[in-house]
Amino acid sequence: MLEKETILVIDDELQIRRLLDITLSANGYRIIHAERGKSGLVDAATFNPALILLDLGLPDIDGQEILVKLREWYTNPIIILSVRDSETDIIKALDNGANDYLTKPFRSGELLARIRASIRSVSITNESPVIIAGNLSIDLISHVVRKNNELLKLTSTEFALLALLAGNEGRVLTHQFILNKIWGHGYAEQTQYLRVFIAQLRKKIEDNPAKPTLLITESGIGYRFGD
Amino acid sequence: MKAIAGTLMKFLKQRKYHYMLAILTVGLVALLCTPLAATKNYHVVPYIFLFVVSILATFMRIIPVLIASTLSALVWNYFFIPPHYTFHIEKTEDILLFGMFFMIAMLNGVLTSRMKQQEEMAKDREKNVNTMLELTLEREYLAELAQKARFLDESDKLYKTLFNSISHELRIPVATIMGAAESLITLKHTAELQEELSHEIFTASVRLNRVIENLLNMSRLESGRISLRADWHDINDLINKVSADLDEELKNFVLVVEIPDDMPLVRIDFGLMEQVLYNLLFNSAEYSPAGSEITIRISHANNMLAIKVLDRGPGFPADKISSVFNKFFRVENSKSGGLGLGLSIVKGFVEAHKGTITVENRKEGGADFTINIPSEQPEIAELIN
Repeated sequence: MLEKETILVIDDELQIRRLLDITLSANGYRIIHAERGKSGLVDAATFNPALILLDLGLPDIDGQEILVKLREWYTNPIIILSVRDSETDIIKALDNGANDYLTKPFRSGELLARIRASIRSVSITNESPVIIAGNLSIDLISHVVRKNNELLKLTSTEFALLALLAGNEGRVLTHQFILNKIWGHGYAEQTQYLRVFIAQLRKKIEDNPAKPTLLITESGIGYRFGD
Repeated sequence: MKAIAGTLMKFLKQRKYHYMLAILTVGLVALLCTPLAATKNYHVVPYIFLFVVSILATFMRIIPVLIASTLSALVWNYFFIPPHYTFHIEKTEDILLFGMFFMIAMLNGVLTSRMKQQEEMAKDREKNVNTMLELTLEREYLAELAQKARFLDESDKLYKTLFNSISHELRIPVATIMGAAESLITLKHTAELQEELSHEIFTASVRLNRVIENLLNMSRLESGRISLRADWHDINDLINKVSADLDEELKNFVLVVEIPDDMPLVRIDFGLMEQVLYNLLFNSAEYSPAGSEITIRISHANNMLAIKVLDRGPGFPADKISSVFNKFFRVENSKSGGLGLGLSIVKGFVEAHKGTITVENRKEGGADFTINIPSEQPEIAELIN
């Protein structure tokens, strides 16, 4: 990393900001703080950071509103910070354009991993039609999937699902998002379908389907493509 | 006028005057009827007397009424029946009349008086019933108050236990964190010692977090506000999540997971069941000997999801095993570090799913927790393309 990437932290709690400051700068990032949503918006426009960490529980403006406003022009990853048991808020945020989420208290290891994955996903989206993930290769044009160079037989739905997730590495895709994209509107409530297909897909592409490393469940929220 | 009537009423109500009043009334009537004495109309007089005696009977007791009856008969005889001023009665028909009048007067008095008595008795009975009703209600009310007081007393005791337990469980990790952190700040330690202190801080924080989660879960259960958010899940996801959460604690054990190949999706509240498995596995890890096996066995039959958590720990003393799921249950001489709420939370969350949980000691040693949760089959058993 020649240039330090800038991360903007929008969180009203001093202790969280301090903690993030220590953790992130120790890992080579430059940090900017904003205590309030409004100043956060200004900072985002001023510095155009590589990533934004946004707390959903801001006092002045609803975090969701900030998210929507940011997404009007900001294209880099946004990771939201929230408390446990607020799945509805998290899903809403992801649907509003957040890439990923973390619940407090979070482990710094997890935080760094997600930041890395999110930033990396930016460069990936503009690249070749073939996605490589571990021993898996996914050709988005020919719809050919190989594992350890051996051809895998996937149904068209299975491929669509895999391609959608793999193409959005570093992002958490909500159940609703996936169902809408693959099965269309009207299937938004059918988590059953999704789970069964994921289970089938795991059997085909995972080294250990019972302990998946590629198709990762974010319980109550959605799925992500891991690495 | 009203004042006079008022005093008159008061006067009339006093019983001791009734005797005098009876006599006076008879006398007064006799006096008023004197003009009739001279004529042959002395037969009218008894009717007037009867009338007056009836009126007296409405508010007098039987004895004054009988006195009035007797007296009116005698007065009628003496002053009105010829020959006047004697008790002797000349005409035979008059004797009959006199006899009849006397009897009627008595009867009238007695009957009216009896009627009044009945009325009074009925009123008394009513009053008795009312009093009894009042007493019963009062007794019930007092019993309720006593029960509330007892309940408050027990709640108070429970509160005190809870409070002491919580204080202890919160203060210990906080003390560790403060102590270790302060030491890191103020003293110069070797890198090794620094790492050790940092580990202490981390461990204590995790412990503190766990206590907080337990407390929050307990309040949710107590407040009755557990609304189940059930959805279809792959049971593998649940187990993976929990084992990841307990990665550190389980690294000294052999975790064995048994899930049938044809395991269907299950309908559960992921968050609640995550807590259930977490608490059970945490306990197993706490009390089992290092290196031993902890088994999670999943099965399904008859629309029921069965989860077994088995360990090779000490199990439970036979006499205490039935109270294992009680709040604050802790086995004697167990290591400190726990509110004793873990298992009651497990039970509460399982029951929120309308499921059951039982515990047994295994034959070769260890605990066997079995959870059964009703879980219908998902609609799609076969895959659709």
